[in-house]
Amino acid sequence: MLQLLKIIKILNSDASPSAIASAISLALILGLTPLFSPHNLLVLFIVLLFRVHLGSFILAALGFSLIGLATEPTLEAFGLSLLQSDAYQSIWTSLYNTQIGRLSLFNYSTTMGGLFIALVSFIPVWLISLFIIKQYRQHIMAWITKNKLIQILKGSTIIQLYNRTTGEQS
Amino acid sequence: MSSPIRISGLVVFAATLAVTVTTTVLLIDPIIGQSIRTAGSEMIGAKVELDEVETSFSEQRLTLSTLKVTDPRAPMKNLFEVSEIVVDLDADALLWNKVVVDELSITDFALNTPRDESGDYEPRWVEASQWNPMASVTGFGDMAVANLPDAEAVIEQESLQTPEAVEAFKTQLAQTKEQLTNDINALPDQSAIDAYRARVDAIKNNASGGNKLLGLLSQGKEIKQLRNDIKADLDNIKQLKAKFKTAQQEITQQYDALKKMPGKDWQRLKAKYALSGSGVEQIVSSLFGEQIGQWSQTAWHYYQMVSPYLNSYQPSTEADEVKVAQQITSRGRQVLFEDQNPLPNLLMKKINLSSELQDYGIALSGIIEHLTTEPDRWPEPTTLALEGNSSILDSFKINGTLDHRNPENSSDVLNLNATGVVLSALAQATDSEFVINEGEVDISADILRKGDQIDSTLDLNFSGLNITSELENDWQKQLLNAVNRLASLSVTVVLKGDINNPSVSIRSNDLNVIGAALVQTMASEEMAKFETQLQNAINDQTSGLLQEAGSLADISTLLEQLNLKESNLSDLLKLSR
Repeated sequence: MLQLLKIIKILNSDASPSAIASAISLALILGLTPLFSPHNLLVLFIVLLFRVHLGSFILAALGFSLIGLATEPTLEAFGLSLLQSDAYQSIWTSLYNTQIGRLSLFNYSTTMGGLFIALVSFIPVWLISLFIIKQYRQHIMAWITKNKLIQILKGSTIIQLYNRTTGEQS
Repeated sequence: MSSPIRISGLVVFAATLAVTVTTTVLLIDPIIGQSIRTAGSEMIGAKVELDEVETSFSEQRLTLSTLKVTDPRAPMKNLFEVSEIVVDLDADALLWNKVVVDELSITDFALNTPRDESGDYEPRWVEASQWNPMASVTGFGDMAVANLPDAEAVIEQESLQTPEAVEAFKTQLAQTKEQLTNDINALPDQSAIDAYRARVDAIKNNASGGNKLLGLLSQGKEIKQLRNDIKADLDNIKQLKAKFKTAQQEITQQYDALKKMPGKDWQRLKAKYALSGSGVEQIVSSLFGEQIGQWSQTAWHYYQMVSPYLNSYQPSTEADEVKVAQQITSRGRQVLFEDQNPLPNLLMKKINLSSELQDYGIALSGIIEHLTTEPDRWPEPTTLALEGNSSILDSFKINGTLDHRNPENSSDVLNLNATGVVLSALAQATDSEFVINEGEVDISADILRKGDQIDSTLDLNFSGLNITSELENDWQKQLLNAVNRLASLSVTVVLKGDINNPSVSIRSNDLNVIGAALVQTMASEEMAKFETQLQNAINDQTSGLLQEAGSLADISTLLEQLNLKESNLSDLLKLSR
């Protein structure tokens, strides 16, 4: 419930839709690939350096991690088939023979499967997220803000306590 | 519009990175230590303990202090214990995600040290595949005189060779007889002889009427033709008689050989079931088979445990140049591609071993070179040259080459020499009927494995043996007494064939001599009885067949037919003069 309220809060905030969409897309990479992978350091660097919405990034990363965990066997099999595919052999071999390629650990099946899916989905996810956020702010935000259930929830003791501990205003 | 760059974020990132790097540098030693403990325990199947790890980034050196590896079969003992291991790493290889050890020095190496607490982990040891090269070795009890089998039962179990030989003889004889009969039938029959006789009579009648001289002159040509015809037939008969003679000789020889077959059957079964000189080989097997089998199994278990790590990667089925690791990690399976600068993932170029003799230990020195998990990615095979001594042996030396560079044609060659090995200190076979109380053994082993084939010879030279048995069989007691009195006893074990199911032979000339002597002294009466029974049983089975074969072997009837034809034609030849 808290997560839901957080999402609503983010969507209702002043944060730019592109910052939130970028956060979601970058979180996709972090969520679908093994956490301690070298490329995730680069993702973290981008998230911190550019004005990517941090709250959205953390929430989305948690969500995508759950998806990544559930689909790990599929990602592993898909990654292995990509790494063994004759069509990409020359690319993988060239990459494998560079120090960056070797240190990137791209030649692990789960890493490759997750990273490939995340990179291919990056732009579509960004565009879809951007569209949804804009549509939400245009058509649903006002209704949500006035919704009695949301107001009751916002006013509940638990939420008040939570806001106080996190230093946020309701 | 605000800047897209978040300077504070950059600071946070730099700070996070700095904290992470600092923490890693500070915690690298415990992390490596824990990794070795966990991975080592997983690999061995018993607890691996490590006191301290010290990393020096400037020297690219890793120092491990007091490493203890539990014996997976005996959790209250350490398989080995090392006081210090110094690892000199190749930093450049690390940037290629490879672990290449330029030199690894191991000092103060001790075997079989006691543990204060159990080092139980996972029972990986018992999961190793069962391998029992001595399974086919006959037990001692079967060889005891008291257990000599019943002669009739032996005949029922064994297939005699005599009946088969009789059948083969009968078939051969029938073919020979058929051939000879055909040859006889091809000669002039009674009607042809009658025709000759008519021609002779006609010539004589013509010659007796009118002018005799003129008659003879006019029929001279016909007489000559008749005589030539009869002579030609007589020549054929002569040739056939020679053939008969040869056939008769062959049949006689075959029949003579056939008459010896029951004797051969008897000799064969006697050698198999009775205690003869060659049967003593089984005594050697039963005396030392269990023990040698257990030692061999121990060595085999260690080999099986280590072998997956000698070549951890298997070629992909889709592309030969791509290899996939067998183990799945949190990152998935590692796939290796064609390497322009091929280096194994893990390579130890040189391992130096040195240790002084300690209470529980072993004085060991030597070098192991080119040890790697991917031998096909390194041009040199693994070699080892170790020597030393211990409290349970005078000296030992191991030299070997483990060549797994070509997985299709891998080979291991090991040469082991150990002198003065104290037998009582070695693990004894649990199900053996014997206990080795005292004695030493010198071991010389040449072990060769190529692909799935093994060809190994193990020479064991025992001395000062004192073996006891709880069994109260006179035969066994006598044999053991004789063995215990021997100054030295040589036994040769040969393992050959499929490595998973090798054929084993155990030979000992010394024991053969003892066994043969014992057969003479102890078992002669029992053996004679058994042999007579066996001979009688074989005779009962084969005498009828031999009589039948003997009656068939006679070809004189056919010869009589031939002689009759020869006589008739000779008479006609005389008449035609």
